[in-house]
Amino acid sequence: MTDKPVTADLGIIDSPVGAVVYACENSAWRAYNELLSAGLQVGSNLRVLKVPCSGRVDEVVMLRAVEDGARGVLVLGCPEDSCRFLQGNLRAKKRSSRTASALQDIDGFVGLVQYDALSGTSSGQLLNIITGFVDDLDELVTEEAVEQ
Amino acid sequence: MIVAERKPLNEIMDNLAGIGSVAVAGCATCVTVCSAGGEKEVSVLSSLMRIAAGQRGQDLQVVELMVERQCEWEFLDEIIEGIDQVDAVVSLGCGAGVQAMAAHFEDQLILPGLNTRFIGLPEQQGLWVEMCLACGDCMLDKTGGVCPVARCAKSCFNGPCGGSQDGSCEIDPDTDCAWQLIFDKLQKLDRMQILQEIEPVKDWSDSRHGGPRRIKREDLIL
Amino acid sequence: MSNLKTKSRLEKVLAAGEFAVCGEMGPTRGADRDAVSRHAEDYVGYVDAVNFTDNQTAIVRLSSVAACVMAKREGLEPVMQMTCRDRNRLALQADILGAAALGIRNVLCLSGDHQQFGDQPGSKNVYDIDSIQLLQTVARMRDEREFLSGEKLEGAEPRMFIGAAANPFADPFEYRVIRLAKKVAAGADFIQTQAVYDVQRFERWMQAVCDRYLHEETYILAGVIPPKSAGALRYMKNSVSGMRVPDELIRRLAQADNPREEGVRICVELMQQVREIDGVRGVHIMPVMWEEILPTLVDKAGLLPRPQL
Repeated sequence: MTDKPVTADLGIIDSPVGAVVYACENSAWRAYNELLSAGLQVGSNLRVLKVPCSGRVDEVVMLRAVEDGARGVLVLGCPEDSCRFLQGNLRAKKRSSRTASALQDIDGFVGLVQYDALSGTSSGQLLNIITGFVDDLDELVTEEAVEQ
Repeated sequence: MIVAERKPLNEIMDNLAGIGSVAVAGCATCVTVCSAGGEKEVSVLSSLMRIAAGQRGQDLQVVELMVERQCEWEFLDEIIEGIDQVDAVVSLGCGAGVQAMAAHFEDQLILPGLNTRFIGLPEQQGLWVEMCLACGDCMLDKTGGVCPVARCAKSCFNGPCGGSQDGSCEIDPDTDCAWQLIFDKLQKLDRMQILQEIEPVKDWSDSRHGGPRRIKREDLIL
Repeated sequence: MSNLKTKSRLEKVLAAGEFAVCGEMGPTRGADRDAVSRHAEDYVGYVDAVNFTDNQTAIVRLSSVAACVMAKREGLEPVMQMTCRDRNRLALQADILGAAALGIRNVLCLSGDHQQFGDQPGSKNVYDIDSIQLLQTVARMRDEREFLSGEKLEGAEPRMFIGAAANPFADPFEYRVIRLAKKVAAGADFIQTQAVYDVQRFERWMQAVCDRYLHEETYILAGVIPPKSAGALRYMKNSVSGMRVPDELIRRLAQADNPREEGVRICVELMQQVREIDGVRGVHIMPVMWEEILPTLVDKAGLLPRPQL
């Protein structure tokens, strides 16, 4: 895994269904740029941030995003066996599920933390992943609103 | 080293009901090595506490602190200022660390953030196993360097019980039968004759059973 | 072993060279006055002695010592099982004295199943001393009139016929005989084994026992459990640690028209097979919730009538 820090400024995500996508610069970030140059949008409540490796997105990074207002955190890494730093993607996967379960322990917390993998040339897949994630998150938040 | 793990978040939050500001204090020794109470775990827990407080509608300020070694007074003096500014402290030290803080900061509420589990080692990354019960009278010389007091579920002193099968303990297939390990090691060392001897009953007074323990070294006392 | 150590009927039967038969009963989970008497007719005259388990599988039951006293009233010869799990050396020695004073003449010294398996998994286990040390303790109280502390008993010594368990099916196999030798050295007058289904392995173990002449220093009783169904056997094979059950037996029961009758046949065959093995001096039948089958088993195995001594 690289020691290069996660430089992105998380900023404040103040919209009700804010979500942060951490995109590995070796895969998801490239696919994201492909989408953008094709003129496609992935949703307005969403912030896509470039990270040097999904393995750099640890629990602290994910939780800070939530503290800053995000309801969703999506970590996108490279397919298995193709992490430039060998196991960064595997770590990211395990850390996301640990973070997700830690948040689940908080009574009343509604949100989604997920990990997914894709290659740099799969912009179509990226669109599907993000759309699916946003839909799931929307559904959760709507359910919560109805319950209240 | 001492191995610990974090208490459930809800238990920590319940202990903080009505509190306005809290310091989460990590310890840079054992609990850092076992990923339970180091700098990173302080950050993670603090974040979770802020999020949980938000959900509970509690206005809670959480500050993060690190102590080089919570179980020694000298190091505790270094964080006195941070401690004075909060209503309570969640210590991510082991049981000794929590108690050292509670004794040292007389007027401060010190709460445990960890459950101290055992003296052990990381068998592999992310997997810690118990090795020693601190029984006070080491018998590893007779057992090939494998402790039956700590590592046999029944603390058998004279060989494996009837539940040893395929190298595993009856309570859990993932737990090694300590006596299988002892047997294998003594066989390698060609010291099997030790296994023929009956180990007499243990004097547990060297252990916790003799009451809280102390060691006094006159030559070191100033 | 002509000089009897105790007044135990079990010892008398074994010393007379008879092939001994022991039964086993798990006390009830209530304070029932008829806890023992309701099964007594299945045991009186069919066995030489009956084991009463001590919080077997770590589930709370009426105490072993109380069940033993009730058994005596019914004319049964009780074997009090005693585990190191629930009592420290103070309580163990106190209960040995108490049991002996109440006329109990046999004790079986055990480690005890781990509490994780029982109904009180959050309990603190004791294991102050282990089963071999318990054997030594009882033998010392009986033969040296001494407590573990070295202090002398002040009244009658507990004249107990002292037993231990052995599991030929647990690992490491090579250590199983060494452990038996330790138990004999610690004072085991008799041994009851884990239930035998794998006769070949049991024979191998008995051969090693005889090679060390341990069968001449202690009486070895082979354990058997009558299987009620293929499912019960499968459970024992897969979920009871330290048990070995050949697949062939499971198949035989699975294919039987009447599994219970077949189970009886299997158990009887096992008893007859172990009886032929050098050094085996008796059987220990553990009917496990099937007490009423005991007379049939003893009868069919050709072990009736029991000697009147």
